[in-house]
Amino acid sequence: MAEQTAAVAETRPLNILIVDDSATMRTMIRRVVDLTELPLGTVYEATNGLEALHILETCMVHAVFTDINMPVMTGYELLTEIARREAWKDILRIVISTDGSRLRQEEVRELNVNLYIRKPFRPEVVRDVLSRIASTHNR
Amino acid sequence: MSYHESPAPITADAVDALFVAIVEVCENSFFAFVESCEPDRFAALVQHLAPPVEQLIETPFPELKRRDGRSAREVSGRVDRPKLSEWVEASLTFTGSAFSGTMEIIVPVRLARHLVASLLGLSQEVQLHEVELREHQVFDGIGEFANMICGAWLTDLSGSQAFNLEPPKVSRLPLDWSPLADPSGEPEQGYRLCVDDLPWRIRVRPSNG
Repeated sequence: MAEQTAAVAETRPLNILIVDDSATMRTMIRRVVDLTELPLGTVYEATNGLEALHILETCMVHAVFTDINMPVMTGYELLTEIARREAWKDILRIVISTDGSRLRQEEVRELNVNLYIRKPFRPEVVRDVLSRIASTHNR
Repeated sequence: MSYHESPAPITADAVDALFVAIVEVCENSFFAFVESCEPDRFAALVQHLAPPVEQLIETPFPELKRRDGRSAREVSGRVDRPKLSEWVEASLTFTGSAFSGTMEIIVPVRLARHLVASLLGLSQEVQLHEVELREHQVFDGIGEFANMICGAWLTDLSGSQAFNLEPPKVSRLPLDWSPLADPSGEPEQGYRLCVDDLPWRIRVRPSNG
């Protein structure tokens, strides 16, 4: 019992930001995240890049899942802003987009994106990504 | 003098690729088995669609009268809900290197609810008729369904080239609308389909120029 408590105490909770203009997709990703049984902290949501920037400026976020095509500020613009700021260099960046073209993937890869997930995707894909992130996060 | 240029035709390969994209999206994210539908079967499935839920609620039970002769409805001031069409349309405009145009998806509301519930993992936990989904959630989800199909299709067609998708627009069709009496005619570049015996339709309209 004491060992279990110590293990939990050593595990740093992971704060995640989900950015998508579709409430359905945010709910779906959040649901998959909740099912992973990972040590999660807070899961934030934003409907576009600008809202995401406000959250990043005020909250500690370890991983961002973002769509690309969004109104107000696109995911590409958001990722450009994240890449520009030294304070956010350790944030893990995962793109989830319907646009799977090679050109788009190469564009965002230059912005230090860790993974590009193409919609449609199976929930297990997001679960596996989170497991990898969690193991890196707690090293 | 105005000059009207004919829409660029969509190749047979592109229409085949559209079906592949539909199957990919339905099976991977919406956990639905989709079939193409011959016109006769499609017509039969459309005709067998029961009245939408909103209309069922309004099924005229004999109205009970109070002693003063007024109905409970008159006393409460409740207003009848307007009847709504069973059919919902999601359309989105795209521009790409191969061609540009509009994709339209038309589904019955109950299929839209079924697909959105499946995407959210709700239908595995409770009976579908018990799932509470508000109209804006269903519209948002079916817009994402259209977005995924169009994105998967254009990714396949565009190869290394990028493309652009406008946000989907979702609305109910008029109450008297039916895919069997659609004035715009039968889909030439699209499919009649069904999921669990619920009919739906997809069509691509190439834009001019």
